[in-house]
Amino acid sequence: MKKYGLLIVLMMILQGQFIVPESTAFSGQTIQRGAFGDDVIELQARLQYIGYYEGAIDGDFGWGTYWALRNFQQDYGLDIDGLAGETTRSKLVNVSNYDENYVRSNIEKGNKFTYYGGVPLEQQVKKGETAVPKTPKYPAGYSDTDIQLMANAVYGEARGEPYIGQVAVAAVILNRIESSTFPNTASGVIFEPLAFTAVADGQIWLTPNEQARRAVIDAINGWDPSENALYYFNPVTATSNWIWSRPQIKKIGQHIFCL
Amino acid sequence: MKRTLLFSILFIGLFSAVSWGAYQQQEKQTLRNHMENQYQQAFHEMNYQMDLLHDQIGGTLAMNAGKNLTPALTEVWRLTSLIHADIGQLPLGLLPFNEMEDFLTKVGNFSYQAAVRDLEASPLNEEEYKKLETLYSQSEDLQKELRNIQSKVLADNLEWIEIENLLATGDEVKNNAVIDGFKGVDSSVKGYALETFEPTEQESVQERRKTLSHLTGEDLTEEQAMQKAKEFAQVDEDVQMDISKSLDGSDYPFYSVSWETAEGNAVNMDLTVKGGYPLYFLTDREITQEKVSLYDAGEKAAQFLKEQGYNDVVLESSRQEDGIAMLTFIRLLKPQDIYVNSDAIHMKVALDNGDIIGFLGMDYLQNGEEREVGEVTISEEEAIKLLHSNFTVQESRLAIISNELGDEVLCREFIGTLGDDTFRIFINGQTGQEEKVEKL
Repeated sequence: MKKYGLLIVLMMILQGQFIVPESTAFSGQTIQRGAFGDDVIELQARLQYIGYYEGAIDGDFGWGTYWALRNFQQDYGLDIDGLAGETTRSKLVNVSNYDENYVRSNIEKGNKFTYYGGVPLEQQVKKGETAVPKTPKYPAGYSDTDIQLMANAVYGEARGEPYIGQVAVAAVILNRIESSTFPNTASGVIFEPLAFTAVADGQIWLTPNEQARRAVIDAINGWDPSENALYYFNPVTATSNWIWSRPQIKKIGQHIFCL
Repeated sequence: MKRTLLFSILFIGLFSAVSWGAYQQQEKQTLRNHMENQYQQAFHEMNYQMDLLHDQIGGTLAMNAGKNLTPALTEVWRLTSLIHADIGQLPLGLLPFNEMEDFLTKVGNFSYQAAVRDLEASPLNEEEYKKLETLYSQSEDLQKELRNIQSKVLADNLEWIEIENLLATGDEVKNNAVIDGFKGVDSSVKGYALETFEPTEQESVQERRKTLSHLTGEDLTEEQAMQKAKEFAQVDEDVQMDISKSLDGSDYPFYSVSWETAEGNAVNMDLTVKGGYPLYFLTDREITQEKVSLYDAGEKAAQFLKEQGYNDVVLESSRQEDGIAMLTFIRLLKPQDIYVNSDAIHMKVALDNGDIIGFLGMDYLQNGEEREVGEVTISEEEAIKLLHSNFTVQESRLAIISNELGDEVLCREFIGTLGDDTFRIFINGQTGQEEKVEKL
């Protein structure tokens, strides 16, 4: 595909229709892998225009975009760092075109489309096919539904607690998944009989708020304010004697967290 | 006339109340039966699988050829995981049955690790056979004890729902065959686990690291800890802070500090009592208009880490999600340039004003002991020859990772593409074994 890209550029030079740089190019930020947004959309579109990038133009700077950018940098004698810094961006703007209206409107409509240079735009929109909407990416191993389920559990169990207490409850669920003495999945841990009161009394099916979801994502990203706890209880309402015998780690809000 | 009317209304009312009540009662009974049946199914299945486990362990003992041993050991591993799943469905939440589950996991890990290795080249040694023999007799005892409970459940028509209610109310339960039985099983298992599975060196290293006992420094007072938190978070001297010390059950003593920012957002931080090492730092706030790029956020976080004295980490990966930059830094060992994936620091930077709103130093601290780093004996070219022929190498470097068995190994790491996908492959730098393949 690299060669194809160069060929297109060469053809354009021969035809004397070399592109005049657009005035509205990039926001001036250095773009790196993992970034998300308008600058990435433009980067992908421009790389596709000259044949380096074949993936979907979705604003998500993943590995596909990264290799495309590096190949571009290699062919044009730039530093091969996979970063769209100033030099790389201006080179890219010089040799490619970006029809912002076309690209943005297709993304908004959810169309499946491409943006190769030298091909009429109307042929590049796949009629009747919709692109799979971009779902947020989470750290390895957790799906959107796992997060939903955990957010439900956290909201049902700890909605009156401070934020840090909610992260701690989410962390306890994750610590249990990791532990050898509990089930190994989010659903297994959450629905284990008698494990959580919110599951027993149905409060888990309340609609969680944004904060509970944030708490779950922080916990998945590794934050553990419970410091490795496997249990927690409210000392005012706890009915089991056994739970008092567990080694206690710390108290957050109304909950005592223990091993 | 009036009286007749009144009576009729009363009668109709009474009739509908009674039939409604009867209907509700019936509904409730149906649901109750349904649930009871599910519990019964899980319980009897567990017993059945336990029988199979015992037989299967016996089977592995009778075999001597490596070829048959692998599927037999895999079956042991599969059964332990099935039993584990059944236990998870029983209402044992508040009944200590941890030892049993822990024991099952250990049996599972042992059989898995033996099954995945090449048993023709390195057959089970004497010690491992002994372990299997012990497991065989232990599983027989467990099977008997569980069978005992099972027959009592059947003989006395014991209901699991009743047991659940007993456990949920938390009253001291006496003379319940099931509860006493499970407690008995759990306490006998405790002895088994100790007797059969001495902690391996790797486990004791992990255990030691978990307690952070390798940290150096003086114990901090509350005042000093708050001062340390202020320096770390770069907040004003006069900010009002709350501090509390960890309770006695923690693996390591720590302080929890919390305060509010000028905008009223809650900030929390834990740091170790010994040496005051930050464990985590977290600010909860909404993110407004994004103005900072992921790249700048990474630079800022790197600068912050340098100021805090983390001189041996480099940015490994970054991700932009909902106005936040999630950054991962890992340790880079000099002078060999070896990247250590497990020694990670995670950071969160708000992309509206570039503030650092999260820091996570636990992994870095836990693995912070000095390591013996071996030498790579396999050259890059040799390692590339070991890769799949369709895999196009794009980047390569040296890395220390934990492999499937949990051992730390020095590897040659290759990032490359196979078709449209990007993979990361680790080749052991000494044996040439493919230790890990990850799809990125």
